[in-house]
Amino acid sequence: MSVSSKARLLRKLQDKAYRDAFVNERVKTLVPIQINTLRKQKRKSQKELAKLANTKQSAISRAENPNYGNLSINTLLDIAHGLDVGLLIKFAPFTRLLTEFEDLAPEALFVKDFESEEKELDAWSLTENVVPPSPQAENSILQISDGLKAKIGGQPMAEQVGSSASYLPNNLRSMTKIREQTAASGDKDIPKRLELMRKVI
Amino acid sequence: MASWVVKCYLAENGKDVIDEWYQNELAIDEQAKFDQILEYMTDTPHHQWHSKIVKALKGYEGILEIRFKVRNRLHRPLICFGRERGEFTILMPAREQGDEFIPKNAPEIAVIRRKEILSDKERSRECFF
Repeated sequence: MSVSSKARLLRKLQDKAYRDAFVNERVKTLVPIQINTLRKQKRKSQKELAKLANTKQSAISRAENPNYGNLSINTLLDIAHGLDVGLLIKFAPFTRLLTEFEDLAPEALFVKDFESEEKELDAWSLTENVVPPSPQAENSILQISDGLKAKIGGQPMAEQVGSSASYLPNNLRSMTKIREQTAASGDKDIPKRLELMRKVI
Repeated sequence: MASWVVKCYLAENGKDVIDEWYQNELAIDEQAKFDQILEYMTDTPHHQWHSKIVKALKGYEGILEIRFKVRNRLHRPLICFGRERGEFTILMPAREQGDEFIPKNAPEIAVIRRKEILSDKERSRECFF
């Protein structure tokens, strides 16, 4: 989509009625198109896909029809099973919605099935799963650590909070920052605060 | 990635009858559906267009129809490939009611308009809905 087309779309999206219709059609028009494209890429007839999905050919035909407009989540799940691909249904910001289907070319709509994803899945299994803290948790940690930073001196916060720090590679960056940014003494209640911090973590 | 140029038919007086149809006759939800269909068509090679969305109109050589339905109103605007490679032109807005085109002579009008746009480049221009 060209920059000028994006600008035109953005103008239309300012209108709530258009925005709502856009969300509808992103699902009702583009999902059937993707099902049709995926089935053809896998060189399956509607009947063959129906068998794999444990459903009827007529259900596949309806699911591929962008004018049907009444697709059920269960049908989508059956088709995902038949194609051996994942299915994502989640609420999302408009920026995500716009970029997800930015390119509607057949190759952009293509999805690898589980077996074809072997390398990517192996690579995924080797990555560390670092979940960023929620804003509330981070805020609590920052508040609690306010009282700690003065006493900690030159040691990294990770050493102070012990094993629970291993869950916090991202949080620790902000804690270290706090330690660096603040100085002075004043708080004699460090053990209590550390315990509270562990609970928050 | 295919990147089609979408053009609109212009009347003899230069009026963009397709834009007029889009702006005045399509409800907002119909516009949103039509926009996404055009977006899909412009990104896709024509031999891979979904047959439920675009297909050749039987009995009218060179004319194709786009089919889109919103709230049980089936629209069937008629198009043709343009003068240049990689472009198609929307010739005639139409819809279906009781297995018939509205207007009834929409395919015949599309055939005439196709001849006009193929022989005169001033009779079409790029669409910017």
